[in-house]
Amino acid sequence: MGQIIRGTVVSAVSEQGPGLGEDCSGESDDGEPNDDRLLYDAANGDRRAFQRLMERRARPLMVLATRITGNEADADEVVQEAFLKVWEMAPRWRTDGGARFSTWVYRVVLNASIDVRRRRPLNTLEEAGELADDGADGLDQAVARQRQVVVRQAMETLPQRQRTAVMLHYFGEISAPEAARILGLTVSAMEALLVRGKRGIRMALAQRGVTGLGDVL
Amino acid sequence: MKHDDDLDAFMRAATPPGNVSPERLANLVATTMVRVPLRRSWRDAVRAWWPDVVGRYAVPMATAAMLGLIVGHHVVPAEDGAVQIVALLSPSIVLAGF
Repeated sequence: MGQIIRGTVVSAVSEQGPGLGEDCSGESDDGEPNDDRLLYDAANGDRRAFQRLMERRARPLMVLATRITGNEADADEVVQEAFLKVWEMAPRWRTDGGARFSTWVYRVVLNASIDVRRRRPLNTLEEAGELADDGADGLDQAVARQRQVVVRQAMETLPQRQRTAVMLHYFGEISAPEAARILGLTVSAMEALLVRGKRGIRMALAQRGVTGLGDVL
Repeated sequence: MKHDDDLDAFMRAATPPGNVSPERLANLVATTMVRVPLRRSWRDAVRAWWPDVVGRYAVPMATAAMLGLIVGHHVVPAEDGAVQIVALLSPSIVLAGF
């Protein structure tokens, strides 16, 4: 069940810091304090430890939030608020409670991002020029933005749970078991949700005349 | 788009890029750190609170205590005070003797 969703991207993220699925329960070989240790220090008022935790964990959260909200400013605000919550709850965090910090903070960012997305009108993605690849030319950027809008509209047609699962699957860059843990589901339940979600996306795209990769131009 | 692979390819193409620049990350960290409130233990809180309380209330309380001693000393003579205490603590008038 160790299936990796979009494995190429996962490896790219891993170069920048520990991934969500990595075990952070023990101290690493190079003596770097793990998440729980940093949280413990942060709970005792160590701001430097908190900063290190943020530097280590924020990047994949920013990616997820940006993809869901469609807007870098909103995404950064969401991640900021999530880490402020981390600072507040650090004294009450129980390392023996079974919850993994990275899973918890991912869930917070996911829900907050979906909330922001729900409050914003659909056309904001078209205005989000910064989402397009800087290296692409104008036409590629326009096509990319158009695809994002079509996908976003298709996702809006899904029931909430399916939409959340699909977003996590495509935007999250995490393994299926980790995605299931974030949503509080078993892996099989997560996969069943994904199957239904993908079917819904496919139908919604077909209704918009999209039946293949080249249909959005 | 009949197969999952086709859908996955389309969705991958439609997913915004996942690159976060070091500057953006550093900016987020710095902005968050500015908003992080100072955390103090209860000992720190008492230590910070104590001089303020002493500074504000020490003189009035010391003055009140001093006045209480001076005025109380003149108003209630020591021997009458002992009699009064017996009377006050007695459960009945008979036991008190009057």
